[in-house]
Amino acid sequence: MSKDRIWILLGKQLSGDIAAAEQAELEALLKEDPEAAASGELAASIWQTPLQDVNAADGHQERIWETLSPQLQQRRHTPIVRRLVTAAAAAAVLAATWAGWILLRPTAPVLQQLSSAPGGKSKVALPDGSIVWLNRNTRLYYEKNGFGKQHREITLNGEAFFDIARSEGVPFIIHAGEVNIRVLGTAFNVKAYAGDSAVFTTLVRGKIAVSFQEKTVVMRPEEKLTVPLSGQAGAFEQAHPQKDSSGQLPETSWLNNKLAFDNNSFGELAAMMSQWYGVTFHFESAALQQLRFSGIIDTESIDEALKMLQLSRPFRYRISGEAVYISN
Amino acid sequence: MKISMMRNCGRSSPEHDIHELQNSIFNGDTQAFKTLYNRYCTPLLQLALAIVHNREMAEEIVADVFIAVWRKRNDLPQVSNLKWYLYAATRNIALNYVRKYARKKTLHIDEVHLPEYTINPEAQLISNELVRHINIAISELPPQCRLIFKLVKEDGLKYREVADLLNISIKTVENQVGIALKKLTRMKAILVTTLPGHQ
Repeated sequence: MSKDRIWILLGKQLSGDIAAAEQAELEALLKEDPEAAASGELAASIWQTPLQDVNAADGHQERIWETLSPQLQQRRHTPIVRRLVTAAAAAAVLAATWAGWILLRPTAPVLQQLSSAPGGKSKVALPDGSIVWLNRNTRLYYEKNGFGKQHREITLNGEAFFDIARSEGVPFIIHAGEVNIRVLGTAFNVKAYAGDSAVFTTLVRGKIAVSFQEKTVVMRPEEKLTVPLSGQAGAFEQAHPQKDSSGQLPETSWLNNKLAFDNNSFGELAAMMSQWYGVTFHFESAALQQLRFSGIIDTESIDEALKMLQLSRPFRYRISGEAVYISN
Repeated sequence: MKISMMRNCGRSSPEHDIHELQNSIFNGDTQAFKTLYNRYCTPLLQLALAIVHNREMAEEIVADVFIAVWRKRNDLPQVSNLKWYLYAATRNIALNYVRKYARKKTLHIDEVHLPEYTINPEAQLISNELVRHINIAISELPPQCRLIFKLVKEDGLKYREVADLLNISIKTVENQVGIALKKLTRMKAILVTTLPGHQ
């Protein structure tokens, strides 16, 4: 049983599609079974082996291109059957185009999912006219039926900036884990990744109400509210973040493709950088995680960013695929 | 040459690359469009083949996908994940073909026709015995297992994406990738110890 589990987890690790908890589980399994650890290395080398597809050499690439390239310029005159198919194609493409892609579910209710590209950000328009910017590794879900008319409820996993269109009588509600945010026409940022210990909401303009368990707080512009998920409902934390020199709140700087950190521990920074770069951090010692840094990562590669951090505190690093090892 | 081409498609190319392509195509850059085509033509053709089991039809489907992308390029900024969009569009168009032309054939993965992973002389020159044997082992995997393994490993799709694409559960994807790895690793472990001349 646990033997097969190792293979499942190895596959997820090699594909880069593994959660932190699964990674920990895999490391524990490999530790207790040296034979499996050796197989793990073999599996990694298999992953590096390209599949040789016999069809790749049959000239299909040129052939298909010859079919399609004349149709890029002018409208084509084609038999009806062919045109029907194209209409179907266009319909399929339209369906997938609108605001990201649609998770096709044949049965009601129809759950719509919007997600940012891996390692990238996306801007999407919701059917009610609200605009949402999705940060990396972020997903939004909502019930498609009646959205904008009967309800405006969405579920967020990740970080997003919302510019909510006014709609009398239909409040916009965001479910971020167990924290609910109720909105009437406004712009604000919510950070609620699955691994985060708290939900962070920063209001730019307008008015929103954030509730968790029994407690509700109404926020004012330029306020940041932290709702810890572990403590009791009373432990809300309100703060007024300082704007940077460009007049922007640090919480929304990711919109401009920047990762801002201000006196954060390396441990916290590693969590942010993991999401930013899609890597996992491994610290040699707990003391390293306590190093503190301030700064902004803009368009730097992970290598450049780590070099930048090394300028202020001494540490060593090694990047191996999607794993980053930090040592003294 | 073959191997470097395989490596260029999908997962191993940086994701921001496809964002740049998407942007350029939106701006009418035909060169960027051709680059996108070159990168995804083969994996999309394989997916289409796995659904329609007919080579000519599959090639037409891929052409349709790219024609639609080009004609609808003004909508590209709204596409948050172009790669997934290409796979989903191929799946959708292929299923439409199946409904229209193939009467009662539906997507049963276990009877899916998949590209064979065999060896050509060119690849043989640049690859060693081991690579050759691994590819033979891959071609011997059950079809569903092989398709899922290929979509995850070679095309770099997320587990969730493969599950949605083939209308199966994530658990099935996890299990199939696990099974493929286990079988291939066994195969390789045997080869490493028995193949003469391989260190």
